[in-house]
Amino acid sequence: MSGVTTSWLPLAPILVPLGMGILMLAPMGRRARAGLALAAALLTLLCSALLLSAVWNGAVLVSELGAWPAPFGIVMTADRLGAFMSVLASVSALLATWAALVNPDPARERHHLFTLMAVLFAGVQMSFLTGDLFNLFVAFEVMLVASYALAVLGSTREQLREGFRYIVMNLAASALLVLACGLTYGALGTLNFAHLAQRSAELGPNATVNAISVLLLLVFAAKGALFPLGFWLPGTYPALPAATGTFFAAILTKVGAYALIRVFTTVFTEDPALPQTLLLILGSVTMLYGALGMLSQREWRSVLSFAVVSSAGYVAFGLGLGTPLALRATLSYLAVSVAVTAALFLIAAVAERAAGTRNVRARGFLDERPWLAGAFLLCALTTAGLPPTAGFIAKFALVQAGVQSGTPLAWVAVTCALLASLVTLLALLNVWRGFFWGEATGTRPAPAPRGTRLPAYAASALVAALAVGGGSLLSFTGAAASDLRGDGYVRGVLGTGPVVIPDAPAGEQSDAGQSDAEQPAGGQP
Amino acid sequence: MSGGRKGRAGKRPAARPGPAARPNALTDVGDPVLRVVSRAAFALVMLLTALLLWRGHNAPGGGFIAGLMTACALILHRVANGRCALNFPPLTVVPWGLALSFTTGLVPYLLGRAYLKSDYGYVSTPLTGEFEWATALLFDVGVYLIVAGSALHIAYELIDVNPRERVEDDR
Repeated sequence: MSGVTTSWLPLAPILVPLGMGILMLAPMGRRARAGLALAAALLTLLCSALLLSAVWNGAVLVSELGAWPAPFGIVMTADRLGAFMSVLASVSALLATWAALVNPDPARERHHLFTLMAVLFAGVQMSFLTGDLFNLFVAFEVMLVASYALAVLGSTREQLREGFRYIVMNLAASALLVLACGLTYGALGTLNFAHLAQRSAELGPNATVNAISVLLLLVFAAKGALFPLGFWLPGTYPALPAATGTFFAAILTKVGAYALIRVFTTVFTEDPALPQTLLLILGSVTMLYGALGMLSQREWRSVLSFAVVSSAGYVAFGLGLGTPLALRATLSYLAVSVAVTAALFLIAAVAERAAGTRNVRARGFLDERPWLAGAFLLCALTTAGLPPTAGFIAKFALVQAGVQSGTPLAWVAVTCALLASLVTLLALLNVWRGFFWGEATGTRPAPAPRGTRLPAYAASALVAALAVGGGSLLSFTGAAASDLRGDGYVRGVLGTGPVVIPDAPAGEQSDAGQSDAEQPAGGQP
Repeated sequence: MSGGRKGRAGKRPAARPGPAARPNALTDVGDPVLRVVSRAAFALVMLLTALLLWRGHNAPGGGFIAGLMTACALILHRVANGRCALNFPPLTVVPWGLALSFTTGLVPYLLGRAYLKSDYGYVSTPLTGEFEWATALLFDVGVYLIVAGSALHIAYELIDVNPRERVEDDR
């Protein structure tokens, strides 16, 4: 097929953590295993960065599994959006691995913590790089199976209770997803994203396709923790150990967000009104719900888990607006949100350890940990979206896109976004006042070694770097968003010529004839 | 078919009341009929397993179904004889299976071809005639090991379940 650029790169960020994860199953000492885990994270980041540089100019790279070309075999596809998400995931994976390395946890490590994390990373990378709807389901399962194990690894009472809820919710969503895949295949006869896009474009606005897309929206909304479906999140994330929780919070809901972006900008674009309205409504409610939830919590990571919910709302809001400007703002917001969530969860881990309690009202840490206070303030301002942080740039772009869109619903959503930002600021200042302000009370546990704080500072530095590089972030996401609107993705995967479905080989003709003959018979009452 | 036979056979010793009903009734099953029948059934099921591994139900290789049937056969063996036919814990084959499947895909990838690309060729022997080999079989063997190992491990863990296990903060 002409015009398809095959490359080994889109598979590399998936295979590296998977292979290293299997290697880490071999019996070895903690030092060797930790070294492998770090090497895997660094190598994955390297592969993702190479991938991003390869698609920087708008190329679409394809890796064919088993050398079967696009609509027939499963392909891994990297356009600017996919490579961008892959880099975000690799960065979070590196931070989470680092945090796991500096906080030894012998019991969990004996039960293959590092392997499970590596498989989780592989599943997330595959979700971002796959070019096939059913393979997306498989990637979700790889990721979720690892996350189920990580959610209950250690078997504390809280983990088992929350893990059960997490597993039930995600199993239900996965069942719905595989159902939606089946319906999609039944309606359009393909599962490849590019081929789906082509066929749904040929079909034009269609009620069946609409129904399927709304079903997919519900599934991804559950994975992305939008309002009524995200109830499991604020309980599950605080129950996790710090390093794992950081990766969960930073990336797992973003996988749902990415799937929404991919499906509603690349695949089902013919009749966007209904999904966009739904996304705007869900997004508005989620933003406010998350912000108010933050205000109601008194423990570090419970507050931050609601911040994750709120950020899912902003992504849905941007996606619901649907204009190129809004899409650019959404992608920028995704990057900022991933970095700041990772940073905040790492800061929370340091803070919990320093205070010896999960409660935020430990008081007086401004003197003891001035750098931590600075990092927290930066991240709090970024989350709330105040200048001069990257959060301001992203939220300003979102609100600007909402105002430009100008429909009544968009105005409601903009109001919700601003209100939610204000409440978020209030909630995070409460944390600031409770933890850093005032006179120290009670006894502190022995201070943890300095190395345990480095991941949090590195993540905060990344947040600061995003603010400095805000302009180039916006120009890159603008380019990625404009990719999504053209047919570059479809041409990059399927080639420039039309897709030719070959006739069935002679041996199978009789089977096809039989099933054709059975269909009318089945339809008769 | 073999699955159904296993299910009926599995219930009988556990349901039988009497002096033999001890806490772990599975370790001293004295049913000679079951033991004799299971010996033949075990061999037959394992043969069928090899066939299925070679040709899956919708052709080429069926590592998954073969692994499941192997697990069934080994469970039947344990139910009949009261001990495991393997002298190593079944979970240990799972990483090897994973590694085998992964490496089968990785080799063509590292040689610059597509990941999971299967190589194949033909050999002719006087006994079998023309015979097609494919490296995809190695992948299926890996799947077979993973499925057999994990299914057996799950079954054995369920046999040895202890409801009074404690979790970390239950003191």
